[in-house]
Amino acid sequence: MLLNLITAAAQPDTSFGSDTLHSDPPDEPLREQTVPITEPGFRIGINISRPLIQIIEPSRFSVETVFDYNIGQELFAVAEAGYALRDLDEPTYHLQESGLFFRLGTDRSLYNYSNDVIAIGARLGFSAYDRSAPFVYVEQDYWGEYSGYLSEESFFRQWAEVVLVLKTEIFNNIFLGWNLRGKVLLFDKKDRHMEERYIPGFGVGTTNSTLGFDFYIYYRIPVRR
Amino acid sequence: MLNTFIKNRVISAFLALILSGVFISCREECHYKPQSLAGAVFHSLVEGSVVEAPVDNFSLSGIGREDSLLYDARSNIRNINLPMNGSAEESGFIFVFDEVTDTVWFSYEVVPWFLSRECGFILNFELLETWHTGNRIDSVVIVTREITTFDETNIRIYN
Repeated sequence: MLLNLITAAAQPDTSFGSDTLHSDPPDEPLREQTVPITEPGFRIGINISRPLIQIIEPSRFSVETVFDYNIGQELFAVAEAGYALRDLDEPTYHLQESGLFFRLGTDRSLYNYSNDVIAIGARLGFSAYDRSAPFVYVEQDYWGEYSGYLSEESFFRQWAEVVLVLKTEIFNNIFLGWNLRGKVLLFDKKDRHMEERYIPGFGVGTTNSTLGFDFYIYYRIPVRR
Repeated sequence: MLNTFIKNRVISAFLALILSGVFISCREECHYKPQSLAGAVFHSLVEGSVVEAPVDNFSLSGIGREDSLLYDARSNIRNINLPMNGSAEESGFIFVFDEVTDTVWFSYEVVPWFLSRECGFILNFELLETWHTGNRIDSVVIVTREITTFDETNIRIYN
């Protein structure tokens, strides 16, 4: 599906390429047919899929902001930062995990026209978070009830991401966009207490890789060049 | 037009995100909650060499739970599973081989293990030490300290 999307994006679009811009032959590479970014700017956004996740999963709360700035015609520097929390208060346990996360990287546009962008990018992600379980109850088949807890522990994890980005300008300087992310934990260490881990900014899972999907709304602050 | 294509993709993905939330919000049940048991294998001296060997007329219970037998006069038992007590730092077991009784003790660290949101925690253990009486049992050796849901041999019992 991703390949189809990228391939579709890479097809020459003669409807604007030949009539309104210039007369390159139709088999020219796409990048040469698109217009330069005429309105550079610093873009600030918020992740609007995170409040939606909280409506679906009230035990999870997170906020995330994103900043990007075009450092070339096709290259954007990207910084993302947020806070995430999972608080599972169940009859047999109470598990709390929360922390900050940061992602730094770049997006390279495959297509950029009229402020609509298809890009691929890479990120390095970092998360510093705490975990505790104030209450753990287990019914043992032979010995009966167990009641205990997990003391608070702090963790630091890093991961790498490959990102597919789509953005479109819906009003003047207001953009809507989504990212599809493939994430892999770096220097992963086995957790002594967790089969299913929650790492703020990385996600929930039992393996060292996962997919993510985020939806953003951005405001671009135009700058003069 | 390609920019119409992008707009359509962005907006339809947003709608898909909302719809997918309906499915994500359906919580699953815990279908299977495994238990971490210490696997023990019996060894005996047979014709001058130590080999895995079954025991007959074998009974087993936990000390403090003598009313509840884990094995009741069973024969041809090659390996057994021992449940450690998470509410204590030590667990003792009464081994009965053909009316010869031994007690075996294990000390350990209890390691709560979060399985999933649906299933919650189970208890893993890390074996520290073992000691025993010597009526029938010659020695007990810890070969794998971590007691988890993996089906491993943790202990060898020489008798």
